[in-house]
Amino acid sequence: MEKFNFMHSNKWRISLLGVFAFLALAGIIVSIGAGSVYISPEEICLSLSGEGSGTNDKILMNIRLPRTIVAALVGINLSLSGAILQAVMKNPLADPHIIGISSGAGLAGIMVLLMLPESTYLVTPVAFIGAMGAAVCIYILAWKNGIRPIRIILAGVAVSAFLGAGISALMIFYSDRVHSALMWMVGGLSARSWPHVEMIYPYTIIGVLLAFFGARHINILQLGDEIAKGLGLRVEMVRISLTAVAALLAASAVSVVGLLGFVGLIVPHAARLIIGSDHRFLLPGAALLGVAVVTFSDTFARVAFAPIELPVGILMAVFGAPFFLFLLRREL
Amino acid sequence: MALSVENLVIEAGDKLILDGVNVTFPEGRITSVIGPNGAGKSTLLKAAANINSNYKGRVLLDGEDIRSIKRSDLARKLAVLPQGMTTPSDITVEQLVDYGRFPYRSWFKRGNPQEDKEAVEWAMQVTNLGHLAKRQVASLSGGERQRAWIAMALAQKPRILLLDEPTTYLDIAHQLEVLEIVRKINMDWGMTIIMVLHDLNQSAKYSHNLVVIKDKGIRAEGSPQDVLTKEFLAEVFGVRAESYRNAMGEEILNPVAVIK
Repeated sequence: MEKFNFMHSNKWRISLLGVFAFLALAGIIVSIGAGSVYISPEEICLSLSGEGSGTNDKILMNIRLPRTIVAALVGINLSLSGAILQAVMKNPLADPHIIGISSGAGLAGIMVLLMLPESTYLVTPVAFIGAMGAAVCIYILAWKNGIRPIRIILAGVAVSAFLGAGISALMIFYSDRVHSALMWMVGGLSARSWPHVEMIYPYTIIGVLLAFFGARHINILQLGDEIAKGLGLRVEMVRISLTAVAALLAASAVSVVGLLGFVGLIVPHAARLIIGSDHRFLLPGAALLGVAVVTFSDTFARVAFAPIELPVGILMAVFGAPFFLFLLRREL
Repeated sequence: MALSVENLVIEAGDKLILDGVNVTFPEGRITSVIGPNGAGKSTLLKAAANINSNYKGRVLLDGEDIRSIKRSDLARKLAVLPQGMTTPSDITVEQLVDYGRFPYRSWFKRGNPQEDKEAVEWAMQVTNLGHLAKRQVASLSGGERQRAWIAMALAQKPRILLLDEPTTYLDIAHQLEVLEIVRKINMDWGMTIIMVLHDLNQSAKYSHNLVVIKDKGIRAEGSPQDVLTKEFLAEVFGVRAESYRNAMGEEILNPVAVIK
């Protein structure tokens, strides 16, 4: 009994967050260190403190470090986005990729990439509009006397297919510029560098702050709409705001690495299994675990088949799709 | 703090559920809403609690339209337990009851920890849950779980408590336990109680005032002695009843047959 209680105490959850933070840090160090050239943790420390020199220092500062930072930020964004969507849509299978929010961001983003190739700064804002548009469509299509989990998924599949067709059409019309868009479709971190870090980090900061402020409201929302209203929560307003935060997080991740799927599905679930459904702990837990998963996966995708570099999106799909089916059987 | 309903008209889709209901729930008393299935009892309760605000007419709390009151302010005055709650899989009784303090917190403020703690402890003590505080809600029996939800509503420190069929799916011992708690809250703290009940004898025993809903409106209103008669049961529920007095001198109605 004593142990049972401890397993559900906040002290236990905080120590779990410590473990997740350690995993995240390990992922970052491995991601910086591993590759065609090995960089030791000592060298990493030297370089980060500005005292590095030589080729390894250049590789680290210009290639590995920015790529790792992008991986970490994308991990945070997609995991938080998935965790929020799962709570707000009352759907264990909600993930920005599966229900078409990423496709909305993707279509909008690819439009900018192909039609206005010079205006990359527009990619994230426009992708956000696309993501919000997709989210609104899903709500409208799935709404019938309230939201049912299964309808969200079906509406999401329809929206996703429709937007996917749009992306394919664009790629046919602009077949001469298609290569950059193609890499984007799969979702990968290859050649991601400082400009990409600058594209994503402001959105990560905003999204993380908003998500953590919303944690207590998400907890109340989980009790059901009627109870939540009875407790004084403005349910519609909170649901719309949180969906916007999730769309922003997903859109900024998609803008930088393309349609990287399943991170937003797997990571929040794993975090929930381990840390529980109190979102004051679940959200930070999912964010840290997201860092670990994406940095480790990208390192693996980079190193395992060297010299060929696998897009991390393929790796995530290989693990993610069976996991999705497993959840489908268990929860719906 | 008085709650009343004026000319309430509620439609669900294109179906009229309530048509021009007027009722005042007496302050500091227990009112039970009774009536046949599908008569609109829950619908009335949800409108009165502002869970559903899609209606014509008005719900007044101390003369003020309930829809114009800020939700969090309202939640400090009025608590409601609808039917069929989804219990999160892994929270403890204490955490669930603590959610009742939500209306006292805002986006940035944590509220007053001392007040919160006292309210949560009080609510768990009133509902006899003190010894279960650290248990997972999901591991409780039906009756204990229902008491945990009531404790959450009490932690809101409301003046008015609305309960939608608080005894459904409970065995008889747990039904009585819940109703005794309701009576205790009313007697000791003067809280106004409005509840939907199925069992007529229980509604007679535990309430001061009955509101009977049938055919989209109020059919009868008043004390249980005045409302619950054999004729009434025949008219509203279509059953023939026998009445007798039990050892405590309470009149018991025993429905024996459906009137064809």
